Amino acid sequence: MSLRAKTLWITGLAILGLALLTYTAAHWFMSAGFHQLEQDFTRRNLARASAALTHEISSLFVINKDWSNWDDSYRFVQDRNEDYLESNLVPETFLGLSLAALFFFDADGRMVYGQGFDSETEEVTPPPPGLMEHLGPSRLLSAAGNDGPGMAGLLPTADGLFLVSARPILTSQGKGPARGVLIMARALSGESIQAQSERTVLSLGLYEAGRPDLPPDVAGAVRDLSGGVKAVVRELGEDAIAGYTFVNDVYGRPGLVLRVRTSRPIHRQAQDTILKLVLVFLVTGVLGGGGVLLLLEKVILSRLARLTRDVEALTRRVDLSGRISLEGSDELAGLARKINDLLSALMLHEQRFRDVASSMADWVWETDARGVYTFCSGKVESILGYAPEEMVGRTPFDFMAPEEAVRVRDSFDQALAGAALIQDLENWKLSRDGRPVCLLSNGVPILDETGRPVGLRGVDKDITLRKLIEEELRRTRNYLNDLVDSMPSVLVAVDGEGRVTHWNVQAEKIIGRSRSEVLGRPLAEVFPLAAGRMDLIMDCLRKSEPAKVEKLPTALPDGKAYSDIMIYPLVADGAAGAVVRVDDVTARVRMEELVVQTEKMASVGALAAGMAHEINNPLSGILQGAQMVQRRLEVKGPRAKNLFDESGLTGLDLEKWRQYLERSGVLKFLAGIEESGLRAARIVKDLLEFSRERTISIEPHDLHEVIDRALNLALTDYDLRGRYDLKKMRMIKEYDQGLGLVLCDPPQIQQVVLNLVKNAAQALADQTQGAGFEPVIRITTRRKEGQAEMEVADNGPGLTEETRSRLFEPFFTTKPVGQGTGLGLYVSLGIVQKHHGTIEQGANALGENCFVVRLPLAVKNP
Amino acid sequence: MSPAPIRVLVVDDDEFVRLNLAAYLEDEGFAAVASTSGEEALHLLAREPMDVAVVDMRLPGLDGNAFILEAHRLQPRIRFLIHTGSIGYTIPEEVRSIGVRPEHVFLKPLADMSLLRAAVEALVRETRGLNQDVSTLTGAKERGRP
Repeated sequence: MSLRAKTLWITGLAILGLALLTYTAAHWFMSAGFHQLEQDFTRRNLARASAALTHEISSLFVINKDWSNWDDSYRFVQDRNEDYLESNLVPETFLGLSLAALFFFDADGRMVYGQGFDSETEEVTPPPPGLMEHLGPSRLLSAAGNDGPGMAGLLPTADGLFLVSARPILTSQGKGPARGVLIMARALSGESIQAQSERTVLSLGLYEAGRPDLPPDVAGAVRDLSGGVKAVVRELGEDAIAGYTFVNDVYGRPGLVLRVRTSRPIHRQAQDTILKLVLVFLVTGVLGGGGVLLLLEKVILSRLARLTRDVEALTRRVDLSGRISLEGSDELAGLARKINDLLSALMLHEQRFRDVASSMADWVWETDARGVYTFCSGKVESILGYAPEEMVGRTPFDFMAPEEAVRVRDSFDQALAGAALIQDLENWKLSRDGRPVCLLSNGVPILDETGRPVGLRGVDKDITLRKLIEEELRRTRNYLNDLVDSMPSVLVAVDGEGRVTHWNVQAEKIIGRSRSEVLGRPLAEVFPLAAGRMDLIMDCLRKSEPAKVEKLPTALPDGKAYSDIMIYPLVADGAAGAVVRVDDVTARVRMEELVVQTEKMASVGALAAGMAHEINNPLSGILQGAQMVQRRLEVKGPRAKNLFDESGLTGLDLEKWRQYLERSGVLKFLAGIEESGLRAARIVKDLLEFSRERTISIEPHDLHEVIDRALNLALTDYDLRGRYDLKKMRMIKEYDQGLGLVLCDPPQIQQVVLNLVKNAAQALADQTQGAGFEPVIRITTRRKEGQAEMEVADNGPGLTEETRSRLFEPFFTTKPVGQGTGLGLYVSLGIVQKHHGTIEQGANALGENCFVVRLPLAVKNP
Repeated sequence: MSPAPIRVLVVDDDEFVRLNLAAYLEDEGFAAVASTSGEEALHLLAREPMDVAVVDMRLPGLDGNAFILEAHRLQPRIRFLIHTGSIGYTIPEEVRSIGVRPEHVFLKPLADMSLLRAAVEALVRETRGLNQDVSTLTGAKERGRP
C-alpha cells in the first residue's frame, strides 16, 4: 500500500473514529438528560390526563348535582309526572349532556326512569344491558345511598367503559330526605376518549386491567404497575412514548389502566441535535483532513513518489551512472543525496567488478532460480561466440548436446536447490560454429534475504585446450605404451641406480615376472640375463654411450638360444637411466648359420661346376680307359681277338689267361679304378646340386610315376643292386589314388626318392636280425592338410640320437668310408626346400623308421 | 651284298677320351674316325660322309653347337650324339631343330660305353629304316678301315 493510500486511510479512519466518538459521547451525555426530560414530560402528561379524567368525572358529578338537587326531579321521582318527562327527559338533554344513559331510582330502589341514548342516531334507546348489571341494589344504588354525597367514577361494563355518577335526589336546596338516586352514565367510547385527547392534546386510552385482550405494551405496564409503582413510562418506538397509571373505578378499585401516548419531540430533538453535531464534526474533519493531506502531499508525498520513481527508473535501467535530483534542504533531499552517494560508490564497485570480469580470461555469469542466464560477462563471446545479450534468457543446457545436458543438469539442480556448490564441474558446450568447448564451471547459489536460493553466480573457464592437450598426452602415452608393448623385444628401462622403471609386455612374457612385481627393484635381481651385465649397463649410464652384446648364448628349456642385448642411455630431461633391449635372435642366428652353410655349399657347388668339366674329362678317360683295358684283357669281341691273334698269341689258352687275370686280381684292381672314378663323379655331381646354376622347373606331375621311375633307377643303381641287395628286400607301395598332381621337378624328386630308398636299404643291409626277418621298404603317399605326403619307411633298427640330430648335415654319413658321400640327405633337403616342401625323420603308425616328404599340390587338383 | 659300315665321327679335344671312344666303337664294329677340333672335323666331313658324330661341347676354336650346325649344313643326313663334361648343358633350339633330343646327350664320365653304342645304333635305325639289321652292318664294317 502506498504511503499516499496509507495516509488517506489513516486520516479518513481518524475522522470517522472521531465522529463516532463524538456521536457516542453526545448520545451518552445528552440522551440521559433528554430521557429524563421525556420521562418527566410523559409523567406530567399522565398527570394531566389523570387530572382531565378526574375533571371529567367531577364535571359529570356536578351536572348530576344540578339534576338531582332539583325540585323538579325530587318531585318527579315521587309523582312521575309526565311534564318532567316531556320537558327534560328528551333526546336533546342526552345530547347536550353527552349522556349514554340516565336512570332515576326511587328510594326503594325501583327504577323510575331508565333510558339509553344512541349518539349516532340521536335516539333514545333502551339502556345498555352491561350497564344495567351494575344498577342492582348492591351496587351503585347502595353506594350512592339515600343520604350520601353520591359518587362518580369509571365503570367498565360488558358494553364498554362508562363514566357514571350517582347522586341522591334532593330538593334544590339540597334538603332531604332523598327520594331516590339519579344515575348518569356517559360512554367513554373511543370517540369520547379521543375527544378527551384532543382536549388534552394527548392520546389517551383506558383499559381494563383484567382483560385478556390488552395490547402488549399495556399488559407490560400492568405488570410493572402491579409491583407498586405509581406510574410507568414505556417507549413505544422512535416516534411514541407512553405513560401508564392505574385508575380506580367507581367502586374505588384499581381496575383500569390509563395510557397516555405522546409523540417524542424531545427524543427527536435530541437525535437531531446529535446528528447535526456529528455532521458538523464530520464536515470539519473532512475539511481539516483534506487540508492536512494536501499539505502532506505537497511537502512529502509527491516528492517521495518522485524519489521512488527516479530510483525505480534507475533500477529498471540497471543504470548506476544516473543520478537523482530532488531540490530542497530537508531530509528527503538529503536522502536523495545519500542515494546518489551510494550510487557513486556502487558504480565504483561495479566498474571494478566489470574491469575484473572483462580482464579475466574466464566468463562470469549469473542465472535465475530456473538456471536461465541473467548476466554474462563479455568474455563469453570469445569463448562461445555468442554475445552476452544472446546468452541472457537461455540456460546453460541450451548450449549442450542432449546427453551432456542431462549429465550437467543434475549438478545445476542440486546447486539451485542450495544443496551443493558447483565445484570444478567440467562440461562441454557447443560454440556458435558448432565447435565443442570444454568449460570448468564453478558457482555458488545466490541467496535471498530468507536464505532461499534464487539463482546461481559463477565463473566458467575455457579448458578446451587443456583437455585437448591432456587427451593428446593420454593418447600419446597409450600409443607409446602400445608401441613399446607391441615390440617383439624385451624392453626394460632402469634409472640411474639400475632399478626397473619400465617393463614391457614382452618382458613379462619372456622373463616371467609381472610389471607390478618388478617396478622399482634392482634389475639384477629380477632379470638374470642382465645380472651378469650390470657393469656394462652402469658403464653405459656413466658414459652415455650405447652398448651392445650380440648373440649371447642363453640356455632355454627347449634348447640352445641366442639373445642380443642392447643398452641405450636415456639422457632426456637430464634424468639418468637406460633402456635395455633384449631380442631373441635364435632364429636369426640359426638362419645365419644356415645361410653360411648354404653359401659355403654354394661356393663348393660353384667350384664343382667350374671344375666339373675339367674333372669329368679325366674321369671319363679313367673310367672308359678302365673299360677298354678290361675288354682288351678279357679279349672280348672280334677286334680284340684279331689283335690277340695279330700279336702272335694265337693258340694261347684264353681260359687260362682269364684265370690268371682273375687270380692275379687284375680285374679287381680294374673294378677298383672304375668304382673310385664313379665315386669321384658322384661327388662332383652331388656338389653341383648346390651351384646356383642349377635351375629347376616345377610343374604339376603325377608323383606316383616319379616314384616308380626312381625305383626302376634304383634297381640299376650300383650300390643298391650290388652292395645292399635290394632284390632281397620287400618293396611295398601304398599309393593314395586320390592324391592328385604334385608340383615338382621329376628328376630332382627322383633323386630324393633314390636317396631315401638307398638309406633305407643301407639300414636294412646293416641289420643282423635272425632268420625269419623280412626286410621291408614301404613307400606310402597320402594327402594331408592340403599337401602331398610321401613316406619312405623301413623296418630296420632305427637311428641313434646322435645320428638323428645330424641327419641333414653335409658330409655326415654312417656308411663306411668310401661308401657314402654324406651328401644324400643334405641334397634331398635342398631339393625339397627348393620345392617349398619339408622333409622330416620320424616313425610311422607301424613304428617303422621313416622319412616324410611334404610337397605342395597343384592348384587345379580336385 | 653287305651294306656299308656305320661311320662314326668322334670330335673331342681330350686325347684319351677320343682314343677310348674310337677304340670301343671299332671294337663294336663301327667305322670310327676321330678329330681333335671342330675345324678339323669339318674338313673331314667335306671329304667323307658320316652317319653319326659324337661331339664334345667344349672344344678349342669352334664349339660343339656351332660345329653341329655347320656339319648339318655340309651333310644334312648326319646325326649327332653329345658327349660333354659340361653339367649345365641344354640343347639350343637350332640344334634341337635338326633332331638332337635329350636322350642324345651323355654326360661325362660315361663309365659304360655300351650306352653310347646303343644310341648310335638307334640313330642309324631311325635314319636308315627300322627293317635294317644294324648288327650285320657293324660286322661288315671290320674290313673297311680308313
